[in-house]
Amino acid sequence: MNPLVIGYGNTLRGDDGAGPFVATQLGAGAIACYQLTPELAEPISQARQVIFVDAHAGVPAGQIAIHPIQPRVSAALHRFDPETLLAWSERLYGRAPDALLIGIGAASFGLGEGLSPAARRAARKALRAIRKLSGPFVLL
Amino acid sequence: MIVKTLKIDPVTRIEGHARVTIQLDDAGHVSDAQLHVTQVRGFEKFTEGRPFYEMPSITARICGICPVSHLLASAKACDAIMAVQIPETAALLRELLHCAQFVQSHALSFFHLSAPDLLLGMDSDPARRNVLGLVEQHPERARDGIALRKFGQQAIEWLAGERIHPSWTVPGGVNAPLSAEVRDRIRAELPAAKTIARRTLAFFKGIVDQFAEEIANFGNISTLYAGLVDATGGLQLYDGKLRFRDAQGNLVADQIRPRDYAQSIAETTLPNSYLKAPYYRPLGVSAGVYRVGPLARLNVADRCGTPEADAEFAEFHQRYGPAVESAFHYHYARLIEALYALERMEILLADPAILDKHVRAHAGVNALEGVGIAEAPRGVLIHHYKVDEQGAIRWANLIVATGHNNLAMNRSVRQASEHFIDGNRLQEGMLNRVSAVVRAYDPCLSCSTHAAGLPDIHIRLLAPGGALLDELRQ
Repeated sequence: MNPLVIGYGNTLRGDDGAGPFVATQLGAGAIACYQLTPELAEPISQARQVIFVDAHAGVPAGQIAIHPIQPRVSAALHRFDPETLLAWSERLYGRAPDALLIGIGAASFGLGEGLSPAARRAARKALRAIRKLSGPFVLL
Repeated sequence: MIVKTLKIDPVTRIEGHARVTIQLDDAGHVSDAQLHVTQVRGFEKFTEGRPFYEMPSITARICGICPVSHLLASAKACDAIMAVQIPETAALLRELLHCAQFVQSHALSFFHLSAPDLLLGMDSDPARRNVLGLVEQHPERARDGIALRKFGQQAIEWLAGERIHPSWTVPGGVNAPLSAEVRDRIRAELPAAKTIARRTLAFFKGIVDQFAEEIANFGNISTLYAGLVDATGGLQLYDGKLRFRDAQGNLVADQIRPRDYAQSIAETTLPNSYLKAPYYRPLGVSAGVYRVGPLARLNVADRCGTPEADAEFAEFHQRYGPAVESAFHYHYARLIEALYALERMEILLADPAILDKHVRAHAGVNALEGVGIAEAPRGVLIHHYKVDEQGAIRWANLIVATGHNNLAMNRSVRQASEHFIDGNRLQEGMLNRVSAVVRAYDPCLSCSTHAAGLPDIHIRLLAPGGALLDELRQ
């Protein structure tokens, strides 16, 4: 069973769309979304492993950073982070799978569609890393 | 006299940004209370000059929760500018999409925003009185809330391609027909969603009597009610004409065509708020306060028109009378409507015409003015546009559900403040009840603040002791 890949971010804010870009490239078995929502807790609970992919201003542009993450409830209620989703998955559906967060080093979050060359390079690295972690994803 | 001011800033678990100011006299009693809406969106102004056919897509950006309502009201206003009757199937599909949105929006309001008050307690620890606390202490309700909202969101995505800001609804109809495969997918999910809606309604009816004090003081006020009904007085969410009833359940006005809304509705502004304040024009701003939304819809309609919702509708009015006044019962009405929306989806999907391929009428500008009205989850939503001969927007007026409720929300906040707030022994639960009144209306403040020009601003300069030194009105 492949891991569940969730790429999230705003495709109208430049490199913030890197997460959805990666998920879209992976096709079936990956979820591209604007933001994390509670509805994702159930499919997460059913996955062998979950890989979150998000643009990250703290990662050098063009690079990626991969971190294992654990269930943890955030005090911020107006948006979901991956750790909170894992906690909801565990509490509501009895299971939180192993999870990774891939941060994509982004160069620009300005208005507009499309990734910068640096974010595109990082996205390709993320795709290679996901394939190595999970096996036979088919690139579109 | 020393004036003490309590502020609830921000009011939490609502959509958008607002604060409540409560004035206490020197005896610690509430002397005044007001809801302030502190954000401005301004869509009425900056859409001027845009082609009218862009308006559904632009105005849908007003809201991430009820974009479908804006899409529909805007598309209907554009239909009127094109002077077209949209194909029957397009109307069925628009209503189907709208019902799915009602399900997800009502689930969000009840489970995510208000259930923490209802299940964890108005006086419970505020650090835990939120959806996370609900997950911890009532996981079965949290699962139901997630599943019901997911159903509505999923149906919207399957129908319209996107959950948020879908572009499927267009002037003249929708831009693609429904496939049998998508129809069957939604139908397959409906029974589970209805089970949740029934279970939640039964649960709520079992606990509602525990809130007698809140029912008596949460906006338990006499107002008019407004909503859309069909030609026979039945509940309408997508289409229909405006009806007003009074607090005794008497008909005040009926079958008002959308284009004639201004004969019934006038707008004013309130000090220190960006939220416009509509009122029933014939009675003036003081006597013409009216409410919209789930409670109002069930007060103005004669019936829902689906079997299970009609049974619930009858029980609702049997319990509380022909005009149900307490804003606390918005929760109850919301759950009945969620069930109604699911039943309507079932009916619409069973209609063979739903798969017809003719789903869009095409035309240019055939009228220089158009009005579209739909029921958003929170109440009557009016889009009114004027265009030039080339179809560019010259003027736009948006009267949004939360705006209709503005005057009533202020009265409700004051009533709850007067009853629950004791300035001499202030407790958090008191302030939470005032916030919970606002939440009962499920306001969507991002939707509702579009007044062009300067809002009515009232600036007060107070001395450290609270004495008024100076004031400025703009």
